[in-house]
Amino acid sequence: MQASQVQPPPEVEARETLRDASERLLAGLGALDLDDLRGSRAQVDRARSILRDAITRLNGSFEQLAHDTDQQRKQVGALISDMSGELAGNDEENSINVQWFVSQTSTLLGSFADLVTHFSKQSVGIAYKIDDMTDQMKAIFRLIEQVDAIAEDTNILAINAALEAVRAGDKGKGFGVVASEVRVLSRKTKVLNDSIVEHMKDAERSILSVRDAVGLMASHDMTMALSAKADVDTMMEKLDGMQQNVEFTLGQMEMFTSRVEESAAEAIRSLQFEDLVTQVLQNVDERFARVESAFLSIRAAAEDDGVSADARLRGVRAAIDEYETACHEAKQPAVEQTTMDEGEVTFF
Amino acid sequence: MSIECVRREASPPEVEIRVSGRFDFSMHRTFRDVWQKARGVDTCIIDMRETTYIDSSALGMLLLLREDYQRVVIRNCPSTVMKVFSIAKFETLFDFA
Repeated sequence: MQASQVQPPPEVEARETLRDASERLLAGLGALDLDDLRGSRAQVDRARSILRDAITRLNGSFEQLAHDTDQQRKQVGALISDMSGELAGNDEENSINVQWFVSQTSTLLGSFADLVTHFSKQSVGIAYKIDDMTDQMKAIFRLIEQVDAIAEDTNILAINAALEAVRAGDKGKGFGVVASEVRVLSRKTKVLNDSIVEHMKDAERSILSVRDAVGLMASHDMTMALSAKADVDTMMEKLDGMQQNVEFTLGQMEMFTSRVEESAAEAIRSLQFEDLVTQVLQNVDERFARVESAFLSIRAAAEDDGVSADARLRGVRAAIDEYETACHEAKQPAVEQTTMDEGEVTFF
Repeated sequence: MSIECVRREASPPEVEIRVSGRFDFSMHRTFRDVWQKARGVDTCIIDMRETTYIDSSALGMLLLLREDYQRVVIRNCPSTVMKVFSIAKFETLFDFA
């Protein structure tokens, strides 16, 4: 604006200025750059896809975790029932239970001790019967000795009779024959007696050897059974302790497994935040889309295509109005979303 | 090893048999002679304070003795001997004092 030139009337000058400004504004609007906006939309889209991928993987991991811990809990449960020695159940033959085995051994040892004791009682009883028998035999030996003495006396009597017979001369001849027969009889008796004694002594020796054999049968050292029983008792105690320990540990394991399961379930529930975030991102994208569409309409209206600046400005105005209406409509059913665990947040 | 026997004319009368040393089959004869001579009383006391060892034949002898008395008390039992009585479950058959 040079002061030296002819000054146009102020209204014309103002109109000129306004037209210049309008043209500049329209040119600016026509050249609107949408790269940033489109870049932002692409970023939002990318965020959505990253989130979706991550959530899918996390879900998979937690579900696997829940599945694995469930398996683990089942196995621990099976182990606990095995350890508890639930043998009364169905597959007794297949179950290997150390405690059952040890208690069977203990029972067996008890029966063994009972058997040995009972057997010893019987054997000692037999030994006493044999003792009675040998006492009887001793009595018989004494009787045989008496028979022996009688035979000896008979012999002496016969000798005396023979002497008397000789002294009687011819008249005693017959008597002498009888006396000598009596001597023969007494000698035969002696021989018979000796033979009886011999046989009796054989029998006595046999009976005594039977008694010794019965004595051996009755005599069992109980120390072996004692030490075996002590071993079994110790083993039982140790097993008890071990079992309690294992049961406690397994119980703990079961508890921890349950906790892991709960945590995994909680984590899976928590992953539902994906829906919320996706909705938010969706909303952001919709807004971007509206802005982009408005920018495109404004740019199209502002483009110099031979239409008057006035008409183009009206076109721009209409595009802005259209955008505002669209925003207003979109706002009507305001997107309300509850957060994961806090109060309400309204996205606008 | 030896066996001593005392008969006490208390009321009721009782007989006490004291077994010393090893109580095994070698004692079976003497042991029975002693308990049978003392028969006729209800209570028999076996004192084992001097007993160093028992085997199964001693258990058999005691079981046979028990058939001749109403009540048999075993007393002053050393722990090694007591273990043998335990394994044979003698606590249920005899009185221990």
